[in-house]
Order: sequence, then C-alpha cells, then structure tokens
Amino acid sequence: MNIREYKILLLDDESEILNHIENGLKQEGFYRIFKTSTIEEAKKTFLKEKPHILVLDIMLPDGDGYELLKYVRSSSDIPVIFLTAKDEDVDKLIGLGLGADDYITKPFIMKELVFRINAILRRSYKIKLQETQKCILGDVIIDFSQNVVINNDKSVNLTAMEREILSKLYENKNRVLTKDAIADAIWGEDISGNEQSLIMHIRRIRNKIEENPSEPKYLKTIKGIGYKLVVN
Amino acid sequence: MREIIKKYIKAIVIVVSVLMLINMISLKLVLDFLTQTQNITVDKFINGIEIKDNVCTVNEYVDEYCDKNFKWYMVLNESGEILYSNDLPDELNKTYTVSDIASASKWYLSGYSVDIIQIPNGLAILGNDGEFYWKKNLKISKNTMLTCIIIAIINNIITTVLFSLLFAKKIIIKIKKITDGIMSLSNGEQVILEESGDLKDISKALNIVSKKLDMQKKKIQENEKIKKDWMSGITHDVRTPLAVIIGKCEELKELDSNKIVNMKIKTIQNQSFKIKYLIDDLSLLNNLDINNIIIKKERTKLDQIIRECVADIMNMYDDSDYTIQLEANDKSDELYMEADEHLLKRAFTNILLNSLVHNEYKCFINIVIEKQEEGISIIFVDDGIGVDNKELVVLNNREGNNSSLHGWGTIVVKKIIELHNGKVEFENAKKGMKVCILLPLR
Repeated sequence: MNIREYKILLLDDESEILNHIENGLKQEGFYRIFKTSTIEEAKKTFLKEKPHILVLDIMLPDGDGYELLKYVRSSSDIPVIFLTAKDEDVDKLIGLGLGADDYITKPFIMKELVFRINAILRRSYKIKLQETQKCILGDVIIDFSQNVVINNDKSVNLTAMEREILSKLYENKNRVLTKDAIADAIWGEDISGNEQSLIMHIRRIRNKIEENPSEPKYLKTIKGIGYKLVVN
Repeated sequence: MREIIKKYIKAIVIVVSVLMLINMISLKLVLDFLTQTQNITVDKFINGIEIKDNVCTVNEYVDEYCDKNFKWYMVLNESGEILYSNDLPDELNKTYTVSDIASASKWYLSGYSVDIIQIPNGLAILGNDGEFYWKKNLKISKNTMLTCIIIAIINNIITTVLFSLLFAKKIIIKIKKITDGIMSLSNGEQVILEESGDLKDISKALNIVSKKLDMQKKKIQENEKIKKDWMSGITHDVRTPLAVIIGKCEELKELDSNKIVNMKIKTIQNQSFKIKYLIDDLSLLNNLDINNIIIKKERTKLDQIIRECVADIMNMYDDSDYTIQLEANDKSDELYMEADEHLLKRAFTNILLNSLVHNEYKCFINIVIEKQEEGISIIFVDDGIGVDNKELVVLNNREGNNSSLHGWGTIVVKKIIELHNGKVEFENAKKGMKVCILLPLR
C-alpha cells in the first residue's frame, strides 16, 4: 500500500486548525483524512474507520488527549502524535512515557508536521521506499529499485552503503540531516569513529551523481552539521 | 543544656554549704556568748557566800539571785553536811556522799535539775524543776569528732547534689520539650506541644507560631499553583490563535506567488513565531521558578544535540540567507556530560534564534565546542549587529529576574545553564555578539 493511502485521524477542537492540517496533508497526497472535534467523536471514528495514525490535541471540551490515547492503546498499537500547547504537556509526555510516538508544539509549521507524519508512518509500518521510486536530480536519475544511478544513459551501480545513505537523504529530502542521524541509520552507532567513513561514502556518491563533485548542486554539506539532498 | 545543669547544682551546693557554715558559726558564737555571761554571774555568786568555822553566811545578792532563778538551794561543807538551805524539799534534807554529788553533777538530784557551784570550803547546789534543763551526756574524742564533722559535711554535699539533680531533671524534661519544639520549628516542621504544666504559656505560644508558619507555607504553595495555572492557561489560549494565524499564512503563501505579498506574509509568520518563542520562554521560566520542572540528567553528547538544534532551525527557516556551522575537535567522543537534553536544546536553540531574529535571518553563526580542563566550552559567535554595552551589563548581571527589554530568551538560557552548574557570558565580538558557555563535567 502506498503511504498516501494510509488513514489519518485528526482531533482538535479548533476547526481552523483541523482544516489547516487537512489541507497540508492533501497537498502531500494524503486523501483519507478524518476530522473530529471531540473525544466521543474520535472514539467512534476510530472504531469505525480504523485509522493508521492519530494526530491529537490535548485540551478538548470533553476530556484530554491522554484519555483517548489510553482508550486506543487498550486495543491497538497505532502511532500517535500529540499537538501540545503547554510546556507541562511536553514534560508529561517525556517524563511519563505515555506511549505517544511524537509531539509537536502549537503553533507549528505545516511542512514540519507533514514530515513527521510521514516519518512515523514509515517507521511504524516499515514502509520502504517504493521499489519503483526514482529520484530525479537534473540529468541524473537515481533508481532505488535497481540500485543504480543513470547519468546520460550511463549506468553506475550503487553499493549497499551508498544506497542506504542516499535513501535516508531522500526520505529527508530538502531537509538538513545531521551526521549523527545518518550514522545511526546506517551503522546504528555514534558518529564518533565513523566520520571519515561517512565523508568517504559521501564523496563517492557525489562522484556518481554530481556534475561537479567538488561543487555539489544536490548533495550539500552543512559544515559541522550534516548533509542535505536538494530535490526540486 | 548540661552546662546549665552543672551551674545550677554548683549553685545549690554552695548555698547549702554556706547556710550550714553560717548556722554552725552562729551556733558557736551564741554558745560562747551564753557561756561567758554565765561565767560572770557565777563569779558574783561565789563571792556572795562565805563558809567560816562550819558556819555559812549568804548575802542579799545570792538570796535574790536564787529566788529569781531557782526553786531551792543549799550550801554543803566539804563533808557533805548541809550548812544552809532555802526552800529545801524534805526528801533532800540529808548528808551527801561523794557519789551523791557525782551523780547529781552528771544527771539529776531526785528528779530536780541542779546547778552545782564550787565555793571555797564547800559546794552550792541550786535546784529547779525536773524538766528545766535538758541534759545529755556526750563524751567524744577530738579525732572522732573531726571525722564525724567531715563525714557530715560530705553527706550534706552528696545529699544536696542528689536532690538538686532530681529537681533539675524534672525541670529539664519540661524545658527540653520546649527547646525541641523550637528546633523543629526552625527546621520547618510542624510542632504541637502539650499545653499543660508550668510552661504551658510558652507551649501555647509555640503552637500558635507553628500553626501560623504552616498556614503561610500552604498559602505560598497555593499562590504558586494559582500563578502556574494562570500562566498555563494564558500560554494555551495564546497558542491556539497563533496556530490559526500561521496556518492561514501558509495557505496564503500557496495562493499567491506575488513576491512582495509573500514577503509580507513571511513577516507576519515570523512575528507570530516570535510570539510563540516568547510564550515558550515565559512558560519555561515559570516552571523553572517554581522548581516544578523534572530535570532528568542523562548521558548526553553535546555536539550531537547542537547539531540537532541547528538542523531543526534550518529545516524550519529557509536557510538561503544565513549560515550556521559547527566546529568540534576530532575527539568528539569526549564531549559527553550528564545533562537534561530537552533543556539544553532549548538553551542552544534560544541562543541561535536570538542571533537570527536580531539580524533578520541574515547572518553567519559559528559555534565552537571543545573540551577544556574546567569542562566543556561552547562559544556562539554571530557577525550581526551585536548588543548595546548597557544591555550586556544587564544580561551578564547576576540577578536573573530582569524585567527589562528582550531578555526573556537569554534569561531562560542563563537559568538552564545554571541548573547544570555552568556559566554563561555575553560579550561583544569584533563584529556581532558572542555567547560563551562553560559546562562542568561533573
């Protein structure tokens, strides 16, 4: 199933915010979105539609988001993201480990929320990058299904490491990804001790995808921080 | 406490000993005086009686004296025969033997108390009712006497000490309850004493004080809770409309690709985020103040969390006009410390946003992190407009509760760094502002 087909249940008592989130998600291609404004409504919709992910506000007219979380958790493990409006909500979530998968504080930037929903869906349902997914960088096409980079009809193979790194960058396309996050994804370790290794892999990838590897247009370095794959 | 008891007992022993001493001296003086007066009278008496050729003559003085002070009297010669008598009871009219005299001088004569006075050639015996004098025979050697006196003194002292200890104990138990109560009060504990006994007024007073302190404590806690709830309510109520504003801004940006309009919309959005950060900072400060925030210290890799902060900022704000970079030494596995990751990230993000916001998101920020002897040093430098020198003084000011200007974000930074036992200083760089943080490893 395509990630866009996953069902998303939204709960917030402010209809403006519900609409805002719905629009953002629709733009991303999601189309099975359910909006609710009370806990009762949310419970009914949860039972009827069986969504794949919940995005919940905490302060609601007929209770709080934690209640719904408990209700959901009694029968399901689906991922839950909280929309928090108070610092203490965050403390509660962090300190008590209530079983939420993530949280974002209002007000938030839509693309941030969308990114997180995507990331959590991928993680929870282990959705790999579609086999038929291709990434187009100018004249270069990265074919993840074949593990090759096609440049002017010339096909170059990607090593397993290179593919991992590239797919991680592509998942986070147009966003800065810290080298710690890459190291964690690729090796499951700290970046310490793996820096040189990573630099070497990046250099090799650039050789394969960039017109001018020493002046990269797509795979950018953010000095001291990490890397970013710029995709139009 | 013990000192007071010792002094108390010492005082009592001294008083009792002095008392005894005074009594003994007084007694001796009185006895001496009595003896002396007696001697004078006896001399006069002896002169008034004359025995010549077995005939006794008595003068007026002796008559008067015996009349006044005695019931009867008689004068004996050296053989024990009565030469003269006055009012002599019948049973005493006889001749006296040596043993009669010896017995009379020691005890009584036929049940009469007698005074025996030696006169030349004879003896005068003056008699009174039986119970007039109280005679007890005491024969004791000097040494024994001394020993007895010393034993008596020691006994007295011991008894005094024992009794005073006993009484002292009773008082001390009562006083200790009071002093214990006061110590508990000073430790902030509640105190309830029994309001009975001699010190009941003090006990009562202490109980009242304890109650008052307790009430005050409760009131303060209540007030803090009210303040906290009020703050929470406000921040929540502000965030919701802000979310709506920002949401609409994003929609507007999609609708119109007019560059000028987009710039204006971007401004509205940025300002709204400024408000969001203000609310975040106020809320955090509020929680930190009330010490309600749960600070969890875990092993944290500092350079990693700085990178995450930078990445988060760059992902939120279009990074075309500004640059943030990090320099960490190669041995980045030395940059660990026990810290609250969530709070430190807040602090670092605040510093970065501070630079960006003040420089219209157009500046270069360099971060240097390295391990030093005293701890881990993190220096943020931007190349923007810098800070007024006056403001610098205020920012670096020891007192954290400034109500001045835009210090909120930096106050949060100071508080968080302080919670980690670190130091933070704000300076002006050659161009722009510099923030120096030192976090100790322990």
